[in-house]
Amino acid sequence: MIAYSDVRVRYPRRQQPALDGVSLSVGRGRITAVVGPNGSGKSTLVRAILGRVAVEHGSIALDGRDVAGLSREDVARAVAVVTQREEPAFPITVREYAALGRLPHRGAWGRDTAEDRTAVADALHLVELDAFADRTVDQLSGGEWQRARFARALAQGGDAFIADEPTTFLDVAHAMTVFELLGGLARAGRAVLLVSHDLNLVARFADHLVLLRDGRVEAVGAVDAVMRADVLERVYAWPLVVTRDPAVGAPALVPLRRPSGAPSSPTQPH
Amino acid sequence: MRASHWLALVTALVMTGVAGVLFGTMHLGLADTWRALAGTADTTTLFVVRELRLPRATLAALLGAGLGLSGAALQGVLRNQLAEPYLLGVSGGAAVGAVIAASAGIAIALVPIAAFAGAVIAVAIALFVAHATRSRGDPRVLVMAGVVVGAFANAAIMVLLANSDASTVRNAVWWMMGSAANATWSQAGWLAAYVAAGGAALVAMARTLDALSLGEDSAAGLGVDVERSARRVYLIASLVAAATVAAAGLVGFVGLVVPHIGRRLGATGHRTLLVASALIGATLVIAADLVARVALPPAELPLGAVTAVLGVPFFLATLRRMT
Repeated sequence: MIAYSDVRVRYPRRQQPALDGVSLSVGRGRITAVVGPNGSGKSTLVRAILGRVAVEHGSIALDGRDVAGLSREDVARAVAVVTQREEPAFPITVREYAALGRLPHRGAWGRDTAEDRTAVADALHLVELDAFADRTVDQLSGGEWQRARFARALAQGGDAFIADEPTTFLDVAHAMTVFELLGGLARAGRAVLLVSHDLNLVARFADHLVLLRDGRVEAVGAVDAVMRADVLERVYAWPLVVTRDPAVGAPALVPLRRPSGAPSSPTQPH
Repeated sequence: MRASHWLALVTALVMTGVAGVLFGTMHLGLADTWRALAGTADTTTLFVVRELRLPRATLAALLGAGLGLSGAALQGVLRNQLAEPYLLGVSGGAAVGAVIAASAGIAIALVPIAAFAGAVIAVAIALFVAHATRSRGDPRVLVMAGVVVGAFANAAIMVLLANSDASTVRNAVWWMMGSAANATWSQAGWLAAYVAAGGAALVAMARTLDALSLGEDSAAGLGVDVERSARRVYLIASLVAAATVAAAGLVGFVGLVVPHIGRRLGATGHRTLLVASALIGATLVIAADLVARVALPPAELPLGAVTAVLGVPFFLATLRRMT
């Protein structure tokens, strides 16, 4: 559904492009996960589809239509995004916050329609925040806030769902909840694009992996094809082994301790 | 916000408005005032109520509503609880525009347009300076930039007035400290037009403001054209602030204090906050103007001085909480 083709993105006043020749596709009914070291361009992929950075070369298409030719609202109706970080500057209730997901679906003066209210109520129910609807977001814990953000994106609807590092700062149970939710969205037919640092969780949930390094696609394919020790060691520049997760048999990455006396900086890959 | 809070806000506004008409250098009773409104009082009372007190209270209410709306909108779009037209230099820029226009002798109802031009230039400079320091994330930098632009605007006015006669300078100084003393019905009329139009436009953008106050990337994800919407909010908020400056000079800190009170009363979301800010601002400035008139009789204090006495401690407390 989402297709990046040969995308190059450069931030202002930077020599090095943040993304260079990146092509990948995010299909309906599965989780496509983008992984890679810090600064490899993962979040830039998300910012590019939001139009927050200019695409210098190549294109991003939604069902064959170039996003450059679509209005921001058209994109928002098709793609719901949970960005990496978000701190509301001022208190707002959980319900009002989730209702912001309906913003692209109506005009400025538009009142809440029955459809809007149902979408918001359903979304809050799905993330189990019904009881919190009238609290303000500054009263939520980290896990509750992340769920509220998912509720907002769920209320937004659309065929594609993008989550940028959704499990940072979350404990195991909350991280699993988030991944299960994403899995459920994919099973329900949505195209899910997940940006994550958590390779082991990604290996269990994703259907398709894209490994980025320095703004380029380093490896792409099924989880087993990308989660290989030689590939990951080169990309992350750190000694590691890939073993099997004893519970489900998914590939699992175990970074190794460096032998004592070795240099403390990451090894330079060659 | 609960219904009881709305009721309290409206009641406070009405009571302050009544007090604004009753009290002054000549205290009036309710009965006298009523007779004046009905047109049966003696000519002095009639004149005081109908041509002095009422237009003045109306003008003060409109000033407060406009400054409250402008402050709430600027705080939302900048995600900055220190933002307000006076501290951002918007009012200062508007003052320069208004002084130039007034000395050129253009029609009084068009002075707000010139003030608006000055306000837009000032806000553009403040945003540019804050942006150039690459610290847009730090709300204090923008306020510093705004204060500097405001100081420059004051200097510019002094230069413009250098060749003027003493009475012009005295009027200008009075006006730079803010005053509703020369209120007339026609002035209140055109200010009402600017405040109503600007307020309606801002309330129409309330959801967009909610989205913008989440941050630029999140707003973009919700389909908001971030730059265009933010620019529109700056323009409308500047226009409303400029109209208040053209009507009564520089009245600072109202736009800072009012949205905070609104949030404290439980206004979440900008639709509620903007409407509440208009009500609270109106109440606050009528009260401040009343204080300005009755605090040190027979002298009258500048309105801007009264709001500053209120606003500066508030500003410092907010600053302290942020650091």
